[in-house]
Amino acid sequence: MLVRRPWLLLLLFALLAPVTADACPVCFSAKEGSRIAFIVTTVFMSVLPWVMVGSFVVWYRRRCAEEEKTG
Amino acid sequence: MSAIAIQSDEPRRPLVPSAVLGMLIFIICEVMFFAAFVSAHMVVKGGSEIWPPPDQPRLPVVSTLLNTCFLLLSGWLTFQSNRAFRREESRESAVRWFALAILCGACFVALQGAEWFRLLKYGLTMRSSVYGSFFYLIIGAHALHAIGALIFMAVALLKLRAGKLKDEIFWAVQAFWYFVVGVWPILFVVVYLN
Repeated sequence: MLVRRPWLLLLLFALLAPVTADACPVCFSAKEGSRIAFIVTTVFMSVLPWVMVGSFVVWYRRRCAEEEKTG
Repeated sequence: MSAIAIQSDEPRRPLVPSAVLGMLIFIICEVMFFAAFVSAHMVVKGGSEIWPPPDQPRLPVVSTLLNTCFLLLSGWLTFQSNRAFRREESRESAVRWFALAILCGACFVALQGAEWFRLLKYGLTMRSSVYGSFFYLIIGAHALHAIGALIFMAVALLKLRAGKLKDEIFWAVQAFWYFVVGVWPILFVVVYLN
């Protein structure tokens, strides 16, 4: 059956291939601690640049306002 | 009146000096650099059954905590130096505070180096375990930053003594040292306190 329908072979490969593709730390170590650490660090790394750049923008705007006040 | 203001020959002073702006951008990059290390450490630690590994030597928490005091003191001394620097009449005192700050920073690096030698003797190496790898990678990266900052500070001190140090360069050097001081407590909690 598989020989007559090669697309079935392809489908089988597509279904099985991701099992061996350890793309992230949680794939090879699906422990609760690892999973939580992965989520926490993903949020941390995503938010951090925005916080830093945002803080800089707020600080810069304050300095602009101070400069305008003092002339 | 406004025409006079526009045609003034006085050069416009930038709101944030270029040296300070450049240093701030560099610090933002460095924060992400350390954040990546901390994240990787947390994920590996979270996936381990026992952390730290039982066959590995324990890190010297108490002595490093005392050593941390040197670094924090150095940050405070730098702040005092800046205060004196802003008061034009007390440049001598700024030099004194800044020299003390460098001395405290150098003590921190020297004591950290001594701890490293002890740990290497006890068998904690880059290859001994993932625990050792992370320790030397994260703490080593911080030590390199501290050494680099101390070199910049020493150069700034010489210029400050000679009265040739520009304000913006002094602030940029300080900003980098505050970063080195500020990131350390986070690294200490993440790496040393398990």
